[in-house]
Amino acid sequence: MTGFFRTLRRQPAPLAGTFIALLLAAVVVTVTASLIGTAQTLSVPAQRLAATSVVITGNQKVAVTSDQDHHTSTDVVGLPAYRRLPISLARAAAAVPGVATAVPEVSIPLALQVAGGRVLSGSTAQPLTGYGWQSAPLTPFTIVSGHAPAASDQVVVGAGLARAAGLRPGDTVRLSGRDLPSFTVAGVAASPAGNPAQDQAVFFTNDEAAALYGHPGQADLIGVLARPDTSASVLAARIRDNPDFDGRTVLSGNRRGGAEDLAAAIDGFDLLQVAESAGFDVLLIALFVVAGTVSLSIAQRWRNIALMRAIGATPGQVRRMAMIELAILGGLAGLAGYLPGVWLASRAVRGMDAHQMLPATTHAWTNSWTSVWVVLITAGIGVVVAELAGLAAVRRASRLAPAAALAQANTQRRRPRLARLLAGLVMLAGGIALGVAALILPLSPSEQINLALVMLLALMTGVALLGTLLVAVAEGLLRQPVSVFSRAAGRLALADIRVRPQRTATAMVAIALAVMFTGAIYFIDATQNHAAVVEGGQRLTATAVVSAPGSGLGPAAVSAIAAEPGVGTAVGLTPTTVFVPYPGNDNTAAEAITGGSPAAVLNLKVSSGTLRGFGPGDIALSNIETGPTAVDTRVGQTLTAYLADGTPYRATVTAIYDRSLGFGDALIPAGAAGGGHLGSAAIGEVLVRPAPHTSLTALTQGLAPLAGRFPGLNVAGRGTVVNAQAELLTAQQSYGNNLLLGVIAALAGLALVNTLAMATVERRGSLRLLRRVGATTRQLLSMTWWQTVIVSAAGLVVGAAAAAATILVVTKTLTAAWTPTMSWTPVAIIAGTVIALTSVAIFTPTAWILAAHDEG
Amino acid sequence: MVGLSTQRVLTRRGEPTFEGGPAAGRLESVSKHYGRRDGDALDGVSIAFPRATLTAVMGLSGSGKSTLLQCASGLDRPSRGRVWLGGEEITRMRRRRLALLRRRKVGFVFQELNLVPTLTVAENIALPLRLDGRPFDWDDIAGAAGQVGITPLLGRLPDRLSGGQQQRVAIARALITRPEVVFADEPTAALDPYTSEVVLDLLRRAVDELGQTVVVVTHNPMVAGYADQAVVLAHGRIAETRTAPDPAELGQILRRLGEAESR
Repeated sequence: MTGFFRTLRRQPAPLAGTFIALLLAAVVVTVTASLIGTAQTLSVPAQRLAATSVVITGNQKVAVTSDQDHHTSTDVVGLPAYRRLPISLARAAAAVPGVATAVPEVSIPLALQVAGGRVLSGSTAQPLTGYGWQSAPLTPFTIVSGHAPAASDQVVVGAGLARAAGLRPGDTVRLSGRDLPSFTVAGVAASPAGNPAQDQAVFFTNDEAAALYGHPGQADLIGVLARPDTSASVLAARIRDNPDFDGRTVLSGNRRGGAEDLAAAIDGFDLLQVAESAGFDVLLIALFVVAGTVSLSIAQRWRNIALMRAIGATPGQVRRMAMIELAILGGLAGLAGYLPGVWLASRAVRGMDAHQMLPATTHAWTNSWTSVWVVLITAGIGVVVAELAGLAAVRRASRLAPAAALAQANTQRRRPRLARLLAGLVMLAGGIALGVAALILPLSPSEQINLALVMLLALMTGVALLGTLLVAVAEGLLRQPVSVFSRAAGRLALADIRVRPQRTATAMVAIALAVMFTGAIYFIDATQNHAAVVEGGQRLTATAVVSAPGSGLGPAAVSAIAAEPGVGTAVGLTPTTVFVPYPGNDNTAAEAITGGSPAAVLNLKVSSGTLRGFGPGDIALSNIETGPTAVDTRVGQTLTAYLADGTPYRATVTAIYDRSLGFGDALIPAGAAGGGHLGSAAIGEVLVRPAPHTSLTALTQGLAPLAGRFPGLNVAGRGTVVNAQAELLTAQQSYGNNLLLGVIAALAGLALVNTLAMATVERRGSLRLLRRVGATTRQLLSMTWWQTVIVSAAGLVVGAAAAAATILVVTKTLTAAWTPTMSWTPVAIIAGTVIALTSVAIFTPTAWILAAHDEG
Repeated sequence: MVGLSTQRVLTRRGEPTFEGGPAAGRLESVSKHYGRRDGDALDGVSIAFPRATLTAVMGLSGSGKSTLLQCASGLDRPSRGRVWLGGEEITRMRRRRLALLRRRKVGFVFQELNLVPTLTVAENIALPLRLDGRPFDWDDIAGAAGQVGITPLLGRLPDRLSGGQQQRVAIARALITRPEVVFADEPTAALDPYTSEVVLDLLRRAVDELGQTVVVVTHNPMVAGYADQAVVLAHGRIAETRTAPDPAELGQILRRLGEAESR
């Protein structure tokens, strides 16, 4: 212990470098732990249902059973749509002792067209929703102007919505995309202060709400208000004990919010996936960085270790000394990394809130009790990581004969040891094999991409293991050209690299890792986006697309459009979710088809089966869902999928298609399982193929009058839609990916600077010696410049090669071509940033060393 | 106490009987090679270091002197042959036992890389005791420092010491555990003649006053004046052996070897 503080006081540079690397790792662990915790504890406070004591819903989970390879497994997953309840349950609830009121609630996603044609639909996190006026006490809403809806053509709007839309009693509104007459605003109702429910609620008469809801005798949930003398928990227990509510979910307290925002559970799951996969990537980089810096730190004190071994320190003592030092550093870094980690996690959560990737009320997971655990886990992981990296680094120093250790204090090994060489070659060969496997094995695109990322990791490990060999190769290749340009400084730089290859290798590997990760992630993302856009264009064969802003078009729109002159085929698409049975499948994005055959308006590149005559009892799946690790099925086989509200759907696989990027991975008829199980009956868009000899202009003109029936109805040509989809796709993917890329770039950049600064400080002795024998500042800086050039060039080339291999494999799997989506601006930014950081990290300590020497 | 006197203290013990008493260290037909392409750095060397004597191992650069010291002291293992140290055979001794033996029975003084730069002079001297987990008194450390004349330097870090001061710290560290054998590798190579004499005086007194065995590897013929026996190595083999060696004669031997080498 005292040795640690002595070293800290008298030779702080290696410890500082190691501490910074461990601190980065600790921050990453904290951010990942906090995001995973946030995902797992994600709950939204009850807002619209704030006044309820208890909320009763159907079972919002479904057990999806899959039977593959004679192995049955069951996944329990959350449903994105309400599993409806009979409204008779409200009467049963009202009869429970202690219940004041039990209200069956229906909810209708909608958008309002107000004066001037403006359409209001709320936000993704808080979409406008219609309810029966009987739901008003559940918040509670109170009329602040006008009166409650008394006729089927009257609505009451929330006060926040009224302010945003400039609505007052007497104004008229229409439901966007619905073939319905206009409604008169009868009143404005406010929720209690601070409750944002008033920003998104629209109330109809109970009968009108039931009609719009479209499921007679059913409701989404039942809100229960308790009598003043009955507590919510007691009431919840009574309802649970009542056999009428067997199989239903009875929620009280904070859990009521989950019934109000079903997406929260899905968001939480998405966040969990992002945190786990991105956290893993970032953690891995952090581990590489820690391993590199710990190894460098041990190498910098090799002389001390060798001397101690010579005068009688046992290998165990040397290991223990290093282990104690690293345990202290790891623990301290863990503790120090906690607060920045929590801050970054909360920033990330806030960013995701702002981009509507999470419910607006989500906060990063920093519960005080669990925080203690996160601190301990972070510190513990810091210690373990440091110990493992240190053990590997110090093992050799402790095992080597002291004479050899003393000899190596002056010169380093110029080639990796045989075991390291073999391990490095195995990793490189493994990486290449994984790339080939990704290309030739019958895997789904997502599996191929995952394999390509594992390939990147294998290549990265290989590069790290073969660092000294790669440096030797680079030195050999650059010897001639460098000698041509610079006789003294360049040769000195090469000599330094030749004699201390491990130091150079650590620096080069840090550069290569930065380039490899940022390059691969950026360009894989760009290629994926581009592939999705291209595929979207190839997929859409309809001439025109009809849509309405907000919640889409009413179901009647498809037949209305189909009946218009000049329309050949009209097919409605409703985005929904299905649960295809295979182990580990959380959900499958799907499209539900209304109207004609999808084959007429979409070219999904069906590889097996056909979409002709697609209808009830059918399902089509993408090749992603039918890969070896997904559902084991073929065309003609039947399976039981589950619809968005948990209804089982026994269907025959009629087609398997390839073009699913930016589209659903399953296609079902809207009338699946009798219809009404998609979560929303609204049609997202209607794809139209004109009758023969009808132009787009004629078609658009023919459909335009329908806007009178369906407010907000918009007709767009294929080109416009493809471009809009491309923009949407980019916008949707950018925040999450930019966040991940930003974190990785920042981490790689910090690691790069830290490692290079450590490596440069180690050159203190040789710089001072050269200074003493008469080298001028200019010559020494020139030598440093050449070293920067050589290290940067080697790192950039090695990093770019590994990244390029991965990008090419991904490109080939996504586009069947070898040309990735390249643009030179990001290439220049990555290379320029790496060169700038490298220069700063090498020149600053060099200038400092020379200045300190001259002053001394 | 050894002061900074310029007067040489030559307290020969007369003609030692090398074949007689048990040696503190012994090499038997020891060879060492480092790589397949390199020749033998040591080639079948046999030599004994009798107790309480000072042996000078001499030779030109590259003759195998340092390799001999490393094999004899357990810093390295021979490729062939056997080595005894402190009454135990160390040829195939396990790393941990060998480290313990070095710590308890051997002291080292190197030409350079002698001191741990993050430790003060006092801490450097105490290091072998610390490593051995032995309780010690800082007065003992001060006493050892006093014996080599560096008491005022106890709180300094090595980078604030001259070469001669560093060597004296190394000698104090080598002697603090009262080791049976002290190995010194070119301890005077970087020192001026005056400081070299001081260092050699200290090593000689370790033999005469503490009964320790000292092996000094050097190309400096002056060391022979302090030695009880001298061994001259050439091309990894023993070329000459002298008891009660004469520095002038050894100087001539080395010169002759050098001339032969340059031819």
